[in-house]
Amino acid sequence: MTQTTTSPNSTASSTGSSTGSSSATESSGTETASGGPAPSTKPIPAQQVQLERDIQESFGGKVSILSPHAWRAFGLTVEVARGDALSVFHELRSNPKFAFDMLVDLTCVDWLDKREPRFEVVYQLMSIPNKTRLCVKVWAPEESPEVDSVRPIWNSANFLEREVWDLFGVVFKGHGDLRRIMMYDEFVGHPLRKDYPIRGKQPRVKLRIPELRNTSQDMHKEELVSLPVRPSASRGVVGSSVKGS
Amino acid sequence: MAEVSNDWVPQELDDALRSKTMIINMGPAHPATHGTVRLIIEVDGERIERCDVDLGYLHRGFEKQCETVDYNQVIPYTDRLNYVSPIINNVGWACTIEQLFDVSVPKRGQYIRVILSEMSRMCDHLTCNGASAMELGAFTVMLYCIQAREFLWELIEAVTGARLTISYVRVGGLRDDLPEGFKEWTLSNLEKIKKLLDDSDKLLSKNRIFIDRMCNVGSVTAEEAVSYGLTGPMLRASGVDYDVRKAFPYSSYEDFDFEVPLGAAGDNFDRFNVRFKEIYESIKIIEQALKRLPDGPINIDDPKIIMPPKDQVYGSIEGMISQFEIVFGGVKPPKGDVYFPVEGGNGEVGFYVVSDGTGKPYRCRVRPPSFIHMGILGPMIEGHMIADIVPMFGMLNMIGGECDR
Repeated sequence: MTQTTTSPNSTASSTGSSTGSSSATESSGTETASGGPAPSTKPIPAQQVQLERDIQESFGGKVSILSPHAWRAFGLTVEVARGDALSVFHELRSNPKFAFDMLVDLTCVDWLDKREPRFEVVYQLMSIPNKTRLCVKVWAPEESPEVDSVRPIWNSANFLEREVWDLFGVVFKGHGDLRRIMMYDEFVGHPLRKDYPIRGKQPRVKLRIPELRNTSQDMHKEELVSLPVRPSASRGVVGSSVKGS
Repeated sequence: MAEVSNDWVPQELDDALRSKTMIINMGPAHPATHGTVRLIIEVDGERIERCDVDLGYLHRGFEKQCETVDYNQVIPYTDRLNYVSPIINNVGWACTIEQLFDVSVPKRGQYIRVILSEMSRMCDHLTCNGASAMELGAFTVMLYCIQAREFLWELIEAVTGARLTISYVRVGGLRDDLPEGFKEWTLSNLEKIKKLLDDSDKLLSKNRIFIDRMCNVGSVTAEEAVSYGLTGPMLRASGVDYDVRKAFPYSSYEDFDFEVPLGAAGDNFDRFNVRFKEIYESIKIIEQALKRLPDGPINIDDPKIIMPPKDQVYGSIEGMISQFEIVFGGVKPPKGDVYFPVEGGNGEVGFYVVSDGTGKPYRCRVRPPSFIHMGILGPMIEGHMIADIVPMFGMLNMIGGECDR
């Protein structure tokens, strides 16, 4: 297995993450031993090879490269300790050498009873100028399923993190608006966790008091209409009507 | 986002006119939004101050369901993601699993996938553009676009036997080869489609009402578009040259000569035009693929991945065993995880699959372009008029099945 040693991970600030890295490494190691995915027959583009070298140079021990062929055709998979994740993401976004300007996807894998830190949060990054892709994995244990939010770095993280929180119950610290997005507010549990039953039944929802009803009675309630006008909202009409005149 | 100064209104008059804001609710079942989504809009008169998007009305647990069935049984579920262009989802899923196996389909299979994917993309763009034009009053364009889509659906029906939920692609190949006379039929239908497209173009591209409603509405800069994760026509309308077919070619897309149309302002008119031009590019790809369509097998020659032909199943013990294995146990990719993107009608459709070596996926995630595009709807809509919601929403082309999964 062409892989860096796990010793750099012992410097990780979070103990949960460091054990996570080592256990993940062990399991991927056994995969190869038991005849798992062999290196791909497809050629790896030059920019991906360069990316692998740059990551090793820039981050050193913070980032451990998992199998360089995990995505085989055009991908590189790395693993970051939970405490280092935010700084690594900042560097990946802002350093022109990497320029990962798009967070393509963010998801989670629940390894209930299979691997020790239970939640594997998977980030798919892409650099449009460099035409490179990177998969970053961050592990979160069951007792504190939380990672840092990347919403300040990429705007697309807003909905993606809300979805992961809704379906997996992984908390994104510093997100600021972590509400359910797929399920309704009264939903109990997180449906994509492995311990949520396939045919799980939910308790009946009580009649909701409509919070945003627009009837004549509600119009007289002061609290419904007291939201201040935000200064950022443009005053004036937009171009469509100006242009025509 | 589009900040158009309106300084000719005196400040004191503006303050006097500005009264309490009102919160209105649009959806989840609104006749002008094709897709089940609820918008909670705070308006100051006709102007939108704030918009909150409420999704999930069509959530049916695609990802959870996929964990309970084997890899080929997921294919009918992928039809229901973006039901306007189901073949692209089929191809994306099949390519992901083939990536896990590290195999690729023979050239003929790849070319047929490309032909049908491009037909699907044309259907997607025709539906989106036609419906958006209709919402702005151009009903004839809708009829022309639906007629053009009908020509494509005839062909798709001839190949796959179904019009909407086709489930045509298999892991490791295709269900069937093309029917007799497909090439001539396609070429003649493409000529008819070109004529319909020209007619639609004449009705819209110099239409004052249409241009006034679409230009400078919903402008998104290139940086914003990239940061919000937009892909597909939405991103290319903002001038960012990114197309999965060019940047990370799959299924032999590198063999074909086509252009990626780009916009400049990133407004609704650019999105419309990018989609319109992409239809012509798709026609170019289909014509090239039909011209160079190689002979040979369409499926991988590996009984562990694809079912053997029926004469082998009934005629030899090996064929019967492999049929039995695939029907009861499913195909079994090696352990590992893979993310594979394809260019869908709306943008990058990606599948992230974690395999634990058994016949069922351990985790299956689809990266839905519509869901990520909905993230920009709120910020994009702020400062616009209520009447602008419908064209903006139409050009986002949210597909409920894909957005909510």
